[in-house]
Amino acid sequence: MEITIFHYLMLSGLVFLIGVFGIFLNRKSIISLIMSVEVIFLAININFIIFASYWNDFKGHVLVLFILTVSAAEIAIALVALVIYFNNRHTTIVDDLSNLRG
Amino acid sequence: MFSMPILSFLIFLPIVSILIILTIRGEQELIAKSVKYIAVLTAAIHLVLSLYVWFSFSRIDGDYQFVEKIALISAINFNYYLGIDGISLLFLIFSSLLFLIVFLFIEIPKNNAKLYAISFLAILSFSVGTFASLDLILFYIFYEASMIPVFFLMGIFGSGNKIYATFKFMLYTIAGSMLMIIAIVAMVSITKNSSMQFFDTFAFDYKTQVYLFSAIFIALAIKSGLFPFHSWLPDTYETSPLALNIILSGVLMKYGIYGMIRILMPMFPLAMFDSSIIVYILSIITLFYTGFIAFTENNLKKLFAYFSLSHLALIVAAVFSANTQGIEGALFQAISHSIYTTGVFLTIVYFKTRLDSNNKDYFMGLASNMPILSIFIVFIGLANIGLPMTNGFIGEFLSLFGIFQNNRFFAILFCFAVLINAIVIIRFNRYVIFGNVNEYTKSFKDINLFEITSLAIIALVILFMGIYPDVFLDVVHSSVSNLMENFKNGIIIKNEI
Amino acid sequence: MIWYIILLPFLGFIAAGIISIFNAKKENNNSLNFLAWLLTTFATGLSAVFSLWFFMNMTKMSETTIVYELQDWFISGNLIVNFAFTFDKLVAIMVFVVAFISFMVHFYSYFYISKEDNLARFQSYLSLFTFSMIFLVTSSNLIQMFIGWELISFCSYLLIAFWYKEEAPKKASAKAFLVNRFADIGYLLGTFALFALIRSVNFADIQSAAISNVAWIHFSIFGVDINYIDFIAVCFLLAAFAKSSQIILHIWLPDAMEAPTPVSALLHAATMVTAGVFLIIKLAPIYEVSILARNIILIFAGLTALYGAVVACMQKDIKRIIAYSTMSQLGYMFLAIGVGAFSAAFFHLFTHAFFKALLFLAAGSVIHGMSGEQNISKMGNLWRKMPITYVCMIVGFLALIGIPGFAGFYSKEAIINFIYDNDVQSNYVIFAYYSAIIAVFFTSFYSLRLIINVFHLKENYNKEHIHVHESPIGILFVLVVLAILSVLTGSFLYDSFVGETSQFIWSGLYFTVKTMPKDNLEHSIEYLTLGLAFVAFLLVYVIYIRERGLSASMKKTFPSVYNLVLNKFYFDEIYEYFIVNPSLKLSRKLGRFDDDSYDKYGVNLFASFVYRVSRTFSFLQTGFINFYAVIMVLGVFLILTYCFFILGIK
Repeated sequence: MEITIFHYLMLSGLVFLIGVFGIFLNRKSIISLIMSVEVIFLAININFIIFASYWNDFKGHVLVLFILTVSAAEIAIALVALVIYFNNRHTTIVDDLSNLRG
Repeated sequence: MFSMPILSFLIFLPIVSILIILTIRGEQELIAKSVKYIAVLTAAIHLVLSLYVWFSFSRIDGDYQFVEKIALISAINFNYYLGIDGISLLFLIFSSLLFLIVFLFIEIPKNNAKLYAISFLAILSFSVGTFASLDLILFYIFYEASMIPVFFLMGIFGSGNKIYATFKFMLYTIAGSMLMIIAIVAMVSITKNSSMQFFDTFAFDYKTQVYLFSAIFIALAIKSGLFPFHSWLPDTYETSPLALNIILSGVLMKYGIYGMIRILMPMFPLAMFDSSIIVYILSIITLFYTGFIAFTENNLKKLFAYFSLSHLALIVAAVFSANTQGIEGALFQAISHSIYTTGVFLTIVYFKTRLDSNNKDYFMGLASNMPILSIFIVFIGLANIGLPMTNGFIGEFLSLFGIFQNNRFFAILFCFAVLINAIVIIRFNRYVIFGNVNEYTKSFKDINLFEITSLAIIALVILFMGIYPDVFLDVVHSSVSNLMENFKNGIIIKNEI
Repeated sequence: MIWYIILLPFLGFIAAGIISIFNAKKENNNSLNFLAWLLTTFATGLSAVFSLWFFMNMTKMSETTIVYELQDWFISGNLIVNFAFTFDKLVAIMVFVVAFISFMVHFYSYFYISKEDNLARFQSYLSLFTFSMIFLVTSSNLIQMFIGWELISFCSYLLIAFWYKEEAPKKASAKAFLVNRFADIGYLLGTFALFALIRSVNFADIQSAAISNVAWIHFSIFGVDINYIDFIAVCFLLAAFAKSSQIILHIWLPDAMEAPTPVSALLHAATMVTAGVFLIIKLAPIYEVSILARNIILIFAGLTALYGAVVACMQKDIKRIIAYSTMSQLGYMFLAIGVGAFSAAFFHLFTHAFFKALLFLAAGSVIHGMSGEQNISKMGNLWRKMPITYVCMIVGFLALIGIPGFAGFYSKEAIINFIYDNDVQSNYVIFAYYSAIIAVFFTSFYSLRLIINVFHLKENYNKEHIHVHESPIGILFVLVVLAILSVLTGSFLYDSFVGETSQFIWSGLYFTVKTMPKDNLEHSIEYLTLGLAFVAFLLVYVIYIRERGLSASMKKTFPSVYNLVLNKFYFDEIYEYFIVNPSLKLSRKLGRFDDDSYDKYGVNLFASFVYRVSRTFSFLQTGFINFYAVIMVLGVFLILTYCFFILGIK
């Protein structure tokens, strides 16, 4: 069976859905929340790379590199925020994080 | 012509002081002290510079002087465009004076002294900008920016139901600003120009004038507290610190008057001409309504809030009389009102240093124990009711005179309405000055030399303005005659159409 | 010299004012009080001397009007107002009267005001008043005059409230100031309208502009045509009526008697209340043209002359009796103006100043001797104990009633004759004539009633508590001087004011002067008034000495009339009920409305609407990130679906 762009897209779609459901259904740990976000990024990166090789356009590869660095930085900030939050509240359980409740 | 950009200097001097204040570190006491020195020094330099402008200002020339122009957005001719004529100069110099008085004679709160001083300095800077800008957009920026420090001052340094009052103030202000910015955007997008001088001679067609006029008039009426839009003022006055009361009534409420003279009159002459009756009616209602409330009001700050409203209403009516005496009377009354209201609030400051209350009933029979303060209160009261030889008389007289030349019937009504001011002050004197001494006032000490100085300055200014009003009227004569010419031209155009 | 006349009282005010502040701090220092008294008395005395000297100089000069220009006050458009002082003979005489009476009162006060009060403050107020009154009289334009006009009512306010620790003076002072302030609306409107008509506010222009040429000009309010001149005349009348306490606007004057007696003598009898009459004389050209205004004057002045005299007959307070008498006499002055006899009005103003000041100061002497008692029914048989006061008071009353030989006779007789002689005999003039005649009867009645009650009859006071004594020599000196003047001013000056030589004073003035040579005086009128006075005397004799029960039975027979007069025709109550109370009530109601309801249905309604809407939708804000993410993704899907399938974007 030849592996076409369709399969790659299916893969990235699946990864994306895993990430999204990771956010939806996760009510326990905030760290897994951040991981799910990371997974969503991954799905998007896969898409970029697929289309880059499909159209023979290297700009896609460049963009992926950018996204990876930026997301790494984001994650770093998120982790810092998390650590500070933990120091204050001594918990990382998502259900308790409802300060924004209107 | 003078080459130094002195107006920019006047705007940015307080900003520099703000930066200096931000760098201060140390104990609370020390901070409060040094902040006070810096603030007083800034205001003093500011006043000296404004006095320099005052004396080097040419009285004969009705055009804008000390002009500065830096292009910002050329597509709509938006410039950093400053310049003053006699009308702006009058407001400018009195704002400067009021800030000096406020910094010098009113104590800065120990906690948060930095924020307090910064807010006031910011208002000083923005108010100069408002009075000196010749560009509509620039005017709006300064005009609106002045309200931000007020928000802080009310919310942080206020007392009583301050959050409620602050939000009410903000709601009113924002409502006004929305209308104003819509009108300004419309004006700029119609003409692709934002210079005030351009609009002075540009004639919108009648319908456009009416819409733009209504929007801007409501914005300015909110600022000067005309009847349906007055209700922010009593609460604001009641809760805000006394220094802010002085600035509010002395400078910020005058934005409304200034805007009416600077924007409405030359730019929408037809709409202004046709709406004068409506404005007269609103003013009359304001005068009677607030005057009547004032004479049984017990809260001192609210009493003088209502009292300010009734004075401002007369000034607005005088502006709309649209003749030389009316406009000059309105201008003169606007600055006079700044001065004697400052006197009133300074005396309230001295009341409150003796007993922390706003209730009139606690301050009874001052004549026995505080004769010197009583003399000042009575004198300032006289200025409030416009007794001749005080500055209140000249303004009130010219205002009524102007209205009479414009509309006989309303002049009679206004004369009756002004009577209410006298009733308020006489009632006030009867209780506060001549009342029976109670257990609180028994122990009061008369004002000290420092306090006497402050009130003496006010009293001297009141007297000087009452006896030599020409010093101040001279400055505005040529500007007002220019204004009148523009106005008349605007009306003639209608007749030609 | 004129600067000394004007400024000396002012300097006295400053000096005494500064002393009074020190005095207030140090619990009243007697030597300081004495110093203040000496300074102010000296200053006003000097001012009086200078003004007399100035008048003497003026009689020798050829020009009739002297103007001293000072500087511009303010200029706005075509309105030019300057400080300038105008002197003509009329003004010079008025200045002298003011300065002289003021000097007398300054001198008198030291002996009258008790040692516990702050005399320095009192003297400074008196000096300020003298300054403002001279300023008013010498002003050369209406707006400058307004300074003096307002300052005198302010001084009266301060002086009435001199004893501010009691309730009544406070109330009276506020009332006096506000009534005058109300009437100043008329002054302002008159000034505005006058400017609109002749483009000037200077007296010189008013007097030289031929007013009769512009008398036809009208303006309209809501389609109602109003004649400018009539409007102006009525407006100024409003101001003058309040200042000179004519009926309806008179309510402040009787209450003003709460002031110390020297104040009543200076302000509320001799000078301040005559400012209204003076203003109208200054504006004479307008009133010569406006017939409407003259008729109004005749009605109101006639009523005032009657009202004051009638009410005075039933009053118990010695000062109030004299106050109502002042009202009635001011009515006479206005009657003279009403028939165009300005010279007679001024002559009566002049003589009245002396004899009414005398009456008040004599009443003060009585009150002083009685240790503050003012009720005439609680006095009696004082003539043995204070003979000089007694004699002086009798002189004053004889002048007031108009007994031949005394000052009041000449001025009042002149006025009645002018009314009788008037060219036009309209109903108004006839009414004025009869009210003037009848008022003489009541004047005689209350005068004798006062004399008998105070100085004769039986003692009706507590002899153990009150030790009646003749007043100190200072007070008696003032009384005697004024008594002599009350006799002399009439017969000696009649000719120069209204008689054959009157052209001398009035020459060069701005209105037609009516003269009334002594020989032309109608003898029948003289007999009539004297007869009426005699009847009144008899009546007093019958009621108070022969038939003591008569007054009680009259009280029972006509209770309504009795109560009406006793309560001063219920003017105060009417004002209280219809104006004061409703406005206070309205004020409280509006205050509550603005506090509670205005915002509730205004800006707060809007705010609470926003609040409710946000409450309603706040269930969407669970605070869980997952929930927000679901909503976001769902939203994206919905938008994409919409774009793809509804809009068909590919």
